[in-house]
Amino acid sequence: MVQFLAQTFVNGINVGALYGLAAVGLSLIFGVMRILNVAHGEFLMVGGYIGFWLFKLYGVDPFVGLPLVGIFLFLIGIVFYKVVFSRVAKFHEEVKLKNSLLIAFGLYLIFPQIAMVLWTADERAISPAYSGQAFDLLGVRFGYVPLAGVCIAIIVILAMYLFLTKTYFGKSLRGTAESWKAAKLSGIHIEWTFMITFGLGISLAGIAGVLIALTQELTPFMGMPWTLKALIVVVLAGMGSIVGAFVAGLILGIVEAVSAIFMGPYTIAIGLLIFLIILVLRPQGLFGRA
Amino acid sequence: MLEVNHIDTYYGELKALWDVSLTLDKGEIVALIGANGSGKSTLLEAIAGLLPPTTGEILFEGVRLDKEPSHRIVEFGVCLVPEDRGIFPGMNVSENLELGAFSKRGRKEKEETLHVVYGLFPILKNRRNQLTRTLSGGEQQMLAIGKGLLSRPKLLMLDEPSLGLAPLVTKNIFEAICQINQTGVSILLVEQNVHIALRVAKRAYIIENGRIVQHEQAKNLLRDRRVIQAYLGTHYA
Amino acid sequence: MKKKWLVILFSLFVVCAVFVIPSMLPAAKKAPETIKVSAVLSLTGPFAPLATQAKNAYQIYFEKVNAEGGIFIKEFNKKIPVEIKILDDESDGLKTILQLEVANEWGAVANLGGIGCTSFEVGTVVAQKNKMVWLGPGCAGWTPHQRGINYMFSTFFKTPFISPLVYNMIMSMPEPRPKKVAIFEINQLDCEEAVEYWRKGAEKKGFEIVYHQKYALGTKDFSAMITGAKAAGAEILLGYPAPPEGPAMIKQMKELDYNPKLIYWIRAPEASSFGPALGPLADYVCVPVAWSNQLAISGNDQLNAQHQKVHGKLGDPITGSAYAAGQVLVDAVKRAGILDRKAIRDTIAKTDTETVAGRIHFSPQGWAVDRLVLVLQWKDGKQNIVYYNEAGQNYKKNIPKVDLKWQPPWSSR
Repeated sequence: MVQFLAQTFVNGINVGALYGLAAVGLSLIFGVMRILNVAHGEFLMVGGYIGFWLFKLYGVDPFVGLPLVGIFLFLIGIVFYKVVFSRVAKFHEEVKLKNSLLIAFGLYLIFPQIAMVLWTADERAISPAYSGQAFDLLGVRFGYVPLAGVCIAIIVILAMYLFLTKTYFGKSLRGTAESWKAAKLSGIHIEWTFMITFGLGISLAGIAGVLIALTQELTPFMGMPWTLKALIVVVLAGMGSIVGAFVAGLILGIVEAVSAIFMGPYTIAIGLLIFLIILVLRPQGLFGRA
Repeated sequence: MLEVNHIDTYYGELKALWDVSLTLDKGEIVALIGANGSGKSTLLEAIAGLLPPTTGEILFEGVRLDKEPSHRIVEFGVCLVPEDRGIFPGMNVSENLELGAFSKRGRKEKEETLHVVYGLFPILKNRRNQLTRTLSGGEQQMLAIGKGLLSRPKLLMLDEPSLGLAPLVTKNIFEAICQINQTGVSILLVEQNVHIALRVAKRAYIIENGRIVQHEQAKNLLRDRRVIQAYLGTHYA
Repeated sequence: MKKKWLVILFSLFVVCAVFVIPSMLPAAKKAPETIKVSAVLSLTGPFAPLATQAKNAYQIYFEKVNAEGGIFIKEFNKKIPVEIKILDDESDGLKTILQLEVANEWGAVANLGGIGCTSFEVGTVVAQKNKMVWLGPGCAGWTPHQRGINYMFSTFFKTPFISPLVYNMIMSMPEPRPKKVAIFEINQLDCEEAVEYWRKGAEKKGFEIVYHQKYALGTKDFSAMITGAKAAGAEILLGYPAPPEGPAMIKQMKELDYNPKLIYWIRAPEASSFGPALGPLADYVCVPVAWSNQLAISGNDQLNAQHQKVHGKLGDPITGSAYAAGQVLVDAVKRAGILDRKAIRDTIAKTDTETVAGRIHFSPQGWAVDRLVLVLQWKDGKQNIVYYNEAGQNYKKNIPKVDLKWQPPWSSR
């Protein structure tokens, strides 16, 4: 039983790291820009498919392709910011939140249709020769691919954290998140900051997409479920907390995995239950400030 | 150095400034006096580029500011410390000061300026790793001014620096403001505490309902019965 | 004055004669330009990978029918082309109802159905209400047929027949044979049924169910179940995964080093993308299907060739099943001779025709009697036929069968 629980824990961490990674981008964009990008999962899907294409058409190993996807999605994010979101970014906070929600919902409706044309409705997955391989440690199995996923998630989030706390530009992002007015008066070009933030957030979604394609699968309709998971994690963590989002992702993953032992088909409701409880008892999130 | 010529400003549909003109010379302290909602803060925001005027022009050392975005205006050496202090409450003191020097202009001389600011407000140095939200009101105001100084302004605009502060703290802050002015930084001051404002300022403009109604030497205003009644309150007289 | 009134009366009479009266008389019926057929399918959502196969099949089939001029309708003594309207229900039962009403308003003579049983359960009720045939190539569910709905027909196999089939297949193998069964049950009606027949079959044939776990559609992490099945020592894994769950389950099984001798899954491994998505990991997974592109039955050459041309690959199992549904409908419309929904229902009920998926005739409840069922096993990116049911005996020479192979442990693959 102990071994069984330990195994389940490990599995929960594998999935939870992906939840965390998916949530960090959403949290970053919301924190800095006050834009709730419900199309976050759609960009995640695009990232996954680009990774799939690189692997299938050009034989690029998905882990090599990861930075490429990150860069590409960063550029896509910038294009989408420039073309679509920059128009609402300058509005008053409340108007901005509403309008950006509408726009993102629009993207959520469009993206799956485009994906259907480009990649068909067939489910796809990235399965390199080593996928599914694992090693044994004290009777607990560790898959190489999920483990690499966890490591990459940790590295990316750590890099994100260092970027935000140690670099000048990162600090200006945090400053913009705290108060765009104060940021403007400090000489921060917030248009530019917004653009980079959006690119970074989308890039993180893309990286998560590739890791998901490695352990699970891609379909044109995977976007919304992932947006919801990310949203649950962000609410759990508190808006704008980067490391908190990752930890909250792990918590959700582990809770889901462990409850699967006892709750069977009701596991899927666990996330939503947590979501409700947090909203009622601690609306600022576990790691957020009141 | 600063010339505001006949500007009109709107908040959406609402007109906030009507044909406002103002000048400020190098090294001067000029005070803006007016009741709540008279348009003092709006004028500062217009100069800082947060709320660009719809008509008229703003010239700073001969350069037009009214068409520039606010982060460029900082590069020209114009800095606003707004009424809400314009600091980042979730970041610590030294990060706030660092971001104050975000402009190219400020970044070049960041270390020296930081030295100056710590000299001016030694308490900030002691508190440098503390989260800004945990500072007292006076310390926050010191940080706000210090952060503004780190952008190496030629013109520092201060919006209600004494708001919510105890008299003793206010006195300290104004001493610092005078010191800053003595290093050659011009100051445009909005202050509820008219008494103290008129003491440090050389000239003052009185603004009512978005219009400049009077412009006078500060010491003359201190003797003006009407001004005393309207803004200073009888107990100051 | 009187003259003027006469003129008005006369002109009124003329107007009536010209416009009103003809519309009241029983007109000689004019042939419609097209025969309207709707197809409400899950083109988006979790069932899209399967339903898209049906859409492709319908399009290929009716293109062929129309290339030959359409269907001969006796009433009008001429061939009329088929116009097919494909409507998306987004894998959502409520949308199925909505889209069926759209099809009804549009004037479809019959509806070709989708894949998921959810759409089947709710859709057929609407079909009954509107007296419009629902002829579906999917849903293995048995219950929908037990509700007295006589406008529903399915060319697919049903759970009472495919569930025990796995035991027959195992029993056809030489000893030693695996005996211990694990069941992963998704919370859907047809899977619930399948589990019931898996239970009954196990009792009858002497298999032991050592692990049984339920989970919800949309689950991403199956490790708790896999670990449980492994701990229970299950050698046969039965399941009913929705298409997006297949690859994740397999990868997690390998990571957790769970080595059943046989994976028999209904649904997810059917899609031709299952193999490519998993690469060699897909090998040895078995799936019962109602058609295979390897079947050497007349009509399949054309279907395969056209599918290859349009979609760059051979048809998937659902493709043939849907194609067969199209064949049944066209055959029935031809025999009805009129474009009347009730008449078409009655002729479909009397169907006894050879299709690309074998002979189809219906029980009074609308399910296909003695339906040909094949079991495919994935190997090297291909789906080989490894077993067929009794109905397959009649097609022995049309079925290229290879031997079933037990799944070797992951470590030796």
